[in-house]
Amino acid sequence: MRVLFCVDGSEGADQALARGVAWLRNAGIQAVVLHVIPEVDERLRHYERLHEAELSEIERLFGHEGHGLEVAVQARERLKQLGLEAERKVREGDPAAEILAEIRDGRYDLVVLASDGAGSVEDPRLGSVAEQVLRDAPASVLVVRAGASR
Amino acid sequence: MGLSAVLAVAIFLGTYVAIGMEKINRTIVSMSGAILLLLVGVLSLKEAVTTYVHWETVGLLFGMFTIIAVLSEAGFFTYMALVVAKKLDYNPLRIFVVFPLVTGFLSAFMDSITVMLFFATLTYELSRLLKFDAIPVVVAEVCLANIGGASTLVGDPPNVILGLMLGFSFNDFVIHNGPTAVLAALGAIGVAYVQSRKRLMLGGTVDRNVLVAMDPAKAIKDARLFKLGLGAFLVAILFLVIHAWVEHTLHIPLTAPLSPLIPGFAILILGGNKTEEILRKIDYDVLLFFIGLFVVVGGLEKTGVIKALADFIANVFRHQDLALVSTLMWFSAVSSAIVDNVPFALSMAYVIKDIAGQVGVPALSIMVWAVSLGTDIGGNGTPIGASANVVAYAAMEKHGHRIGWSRWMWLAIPQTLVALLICNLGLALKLWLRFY
Repeated sequence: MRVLFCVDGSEGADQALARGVAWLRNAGIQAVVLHVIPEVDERLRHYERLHEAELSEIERLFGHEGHGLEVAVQARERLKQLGLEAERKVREGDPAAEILAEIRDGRYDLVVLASDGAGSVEDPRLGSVAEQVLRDAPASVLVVRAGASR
Repeated sequence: MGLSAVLAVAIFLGTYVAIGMEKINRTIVSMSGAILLLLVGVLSLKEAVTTYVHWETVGLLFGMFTIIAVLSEAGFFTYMALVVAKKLDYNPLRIFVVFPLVTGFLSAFMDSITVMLFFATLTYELSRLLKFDAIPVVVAEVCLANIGGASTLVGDPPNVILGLMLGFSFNDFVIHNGPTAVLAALGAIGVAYVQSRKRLMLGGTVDRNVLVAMDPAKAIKDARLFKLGLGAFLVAILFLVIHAWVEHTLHIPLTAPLSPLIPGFAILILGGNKTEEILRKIDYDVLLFFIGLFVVVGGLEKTGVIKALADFIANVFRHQDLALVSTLMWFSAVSSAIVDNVPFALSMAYVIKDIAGQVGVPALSIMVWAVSLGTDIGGNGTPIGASANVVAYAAMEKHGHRIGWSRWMWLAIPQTLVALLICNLGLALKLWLRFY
């Protein structure tokens, strides 16, 4: 079974990883972690272009690669700790649209994601990304409730 | 209202709404509005260029942008943040209080967008290693950057417009808006501290090794350029402080726009092979955005729409100075939280100038301070209220911390309200003391 874990560096996504693995550990799964870097606002992109070299310098000083890759790398490490080897993928664009595209391209059987990611943790409603993926995914979706103990 | 006035209002409103919707680049919107206004014959090109585009504002901003480009190129912002963080011993709670004060101070003299681009990024990097929640820190940094911007002529574009169009100097802003803005900033950081101090720390292992091993001096990419940029910046501020005295006493036409332009161009001459890189960093889009807006708002002025609005306001508030000044401040604040504050400040510059010409209204100066404080600080309320907010919000989102409108407003509105209340009290006190 091919399983896609969607991560965004948030606590909710981390819980989704742990819970998903706990439920699926013995199912003989082939796992992939995906992080979608949201499309950058046009005005930010403008200012980033003006100060591109200096902003890259900050990343270099703090000793890490681009954030998108880092989130996926950390999530893969986390899965490894939980006893599951995974492939990592990073896409750029609208998170829901990119997750759906990855599900179609990668022919996954199951998708694991948090009910709400990097947005408001206090908000009990389903996050917009989870909602859209749940509605349109051509595969089964396991939505792990952020902050819930079960 | 004649056909010209109807066309001028329609084009102004269309431009204003299109800027607010952010579907099309705002520079393209403002320039299209200007071209349309010329096309329908409300203004001639000669009139637009010679009467309505305020070249002093464009010149001053160009000069300041040049110096900021040099400072950015030299690594000034990263160096500054790292030195401050090291001095604070990388203590998250101290960073939470002091970083916003630093962004407030820097934004009093520099473009707050550039300040926030770097500080949001650096705060995120520090939060990653020190395991604190970057969001309340970044929101407080933005709030104080906008409040700090209110304290001087060059702190925020609305001040440049109001000051230069209506004849108020750098020192006028420092004397009249400075103390109010400082108190407002202290009030806002106090609110931020109460709101988030207990929820600042996140769990996890703190990794200080990278930070302890980090030498802030390594952030300086070019020591010569760093010294030149800092020198030019200090000279620009000195010129802004003394230019009126130099003009009147020594009869040397050192105007406000020339104050940053002279040191700015001096570095370009001395910049050697870095000159082209510096010129590439200047935000020409914003200058074009301003030029377009000057023409669009000029259409309202020429057709008498501004005069009619000013007459209406003066009639409603005649002999009610405090009510007028307070309304101007709060109206400016609410408008600036919803749409871009530059076209608003530009229109208000004309409106309050016309109000000041009437009987039974307060002096122009106190109305300038009210509109300036309102437009600069009101923008804090929403993620799109000012360009610095947009950039900080988007930078955090890019790093995986989507703040969301509700959390932004939950954090920023109490800080903004306290700051505005302090400003309103300050304005009332100034009216009472007749010190404006």
